[in-house]
Amino acid sequence: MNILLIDNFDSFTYLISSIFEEFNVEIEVKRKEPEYLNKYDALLISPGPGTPENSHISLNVYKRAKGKIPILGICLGMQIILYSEGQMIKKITPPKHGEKVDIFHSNNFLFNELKSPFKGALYHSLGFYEVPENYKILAWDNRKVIMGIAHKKFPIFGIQFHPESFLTENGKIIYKNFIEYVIKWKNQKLF
Amino acid sequence: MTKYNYKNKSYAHTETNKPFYFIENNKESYFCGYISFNFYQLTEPINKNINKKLNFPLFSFLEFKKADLLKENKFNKIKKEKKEYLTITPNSKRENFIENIKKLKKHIENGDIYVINFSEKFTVNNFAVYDLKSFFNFLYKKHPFPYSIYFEFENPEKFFLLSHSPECFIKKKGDKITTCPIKGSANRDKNLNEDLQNMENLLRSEKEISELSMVVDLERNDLSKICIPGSVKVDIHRKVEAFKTIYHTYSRISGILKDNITFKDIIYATFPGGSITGSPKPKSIELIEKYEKHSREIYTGIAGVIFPNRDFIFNICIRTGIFHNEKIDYYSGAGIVYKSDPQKEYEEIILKTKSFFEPFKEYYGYKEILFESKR
Repeated sequence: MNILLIDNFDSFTYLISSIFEEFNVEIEVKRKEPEYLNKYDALLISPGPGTPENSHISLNVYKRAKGKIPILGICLGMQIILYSEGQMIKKITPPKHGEKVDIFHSNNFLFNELKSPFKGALYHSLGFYEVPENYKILAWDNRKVIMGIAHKKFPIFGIQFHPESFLTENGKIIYKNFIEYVIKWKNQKLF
Repeated sequence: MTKYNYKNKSYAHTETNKPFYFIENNKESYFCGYISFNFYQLTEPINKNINKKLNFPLFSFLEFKKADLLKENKFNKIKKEKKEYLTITPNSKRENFIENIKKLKKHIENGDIYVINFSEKFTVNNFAVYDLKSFFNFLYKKHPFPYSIYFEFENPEKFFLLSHSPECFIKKKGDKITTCPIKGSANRDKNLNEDLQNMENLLRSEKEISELSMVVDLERNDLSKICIPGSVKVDIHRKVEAFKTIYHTYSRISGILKDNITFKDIIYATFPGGSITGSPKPKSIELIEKYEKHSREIYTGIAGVIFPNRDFIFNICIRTGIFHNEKIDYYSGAGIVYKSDPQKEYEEIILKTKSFFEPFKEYYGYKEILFESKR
């Protein structure tokens, strides 16, 4: 399996890639837009500074990969997905940086083996309270800020918190669940 | 304490081509030296159009053939300066500095960064450097901070690095690599109850908890670039270390290096340290360069020793004075987060600077430490 990870100049990117490597997945970290996507089995969009509207590379790669391979956006990565679907992003006050909070979830496969709520690490000052019609909410915190999303039809997922942070309980499981999904998707092309 | 003898050669950074090649080429030597903060130009993806003047090479290393362990560090009798006051001049006006902290908080609110370390430069003029080595020994005896360092350099001209650092940037032993970031400090008190109260307040401070956590994640990320997947661990998180005059909270993160990782690989993956930049690192450095008037140079760079077996240990050059041309350059910084109070952060920086210069009174005979406001 070969996964593309677009790095939005973040300081979490190599934590994410090393977790995937730990699960024996080949992962390529790129800061530029790759010419071809067809050699990749999935796309990860990293966290990062700033707003989705200024994340041009990620926005472009997302549009190209949408509906073709499974996509998982983390933090800014999730915001990029919802922004490109036309959802307005909101300022969250006070912002939460390096704090762990309760994350509640609706038993989507991404959260297999995780109880609800579990402790997850937040690093954000922007976020969403709503999703577009073709999306469903998978997870949230006690401020009702959206913590996980999935497209109703396409293999597109997003999480606002940071599974790769040492503050998140058993966060690696989420990436493992995603990898298992990609394997199934690859074999059956399931949507 | 170790003294390095029989200097062979010195290496300074003059061109960006092949930095640190001399380390790989001289396998039997010790190297002592520093890498300046501004070396980030080579390690981080940042806009390079920053027109600030640099006085010192991006790194300087001295090569030694031999090292001796010193049993005691002697210092000469205390000298008396004629001057009555040691005058410290901040590089910017108080209100400008506070204004910049407010701007950085806006960047945090807007999602550009989560935390940033913001610093001020201070200058002492007309300080005739003498007996500095002896002063260092005096200082070390009084406050034995584990990563204290004294180096003399002669390139481009004579300058001295006197570091009173409590913080270890990176230590390599065999295939194990360790970093121990510090975030959070509290003063010691002669009164036992007060002293314990200060420590408890430090441990409970939400600001300090999240600040250190952010640095831990950042360091885990950087070590993950060069370590075997799954080997990077948080060995210690938020432990209090008690020094004579100050409490610190620190964490320890370690990992097992992948095969064939060189000194250069390690520096390129991890430099500059997370505790003195911010997170995410590239954006933090960009904002540091935008809002700090000065160049940090050696401050928040690293200084240390590389052993013949290629193990090494480097501090973070905080609480570090650079002595050159009858001047002392000193810098002090504070971690800025959403919850920071700009006034308080500034006072803290002034206080930290004052406490570095406090021992100058006893050794050099100054009556008072004064801050001259910038005109």
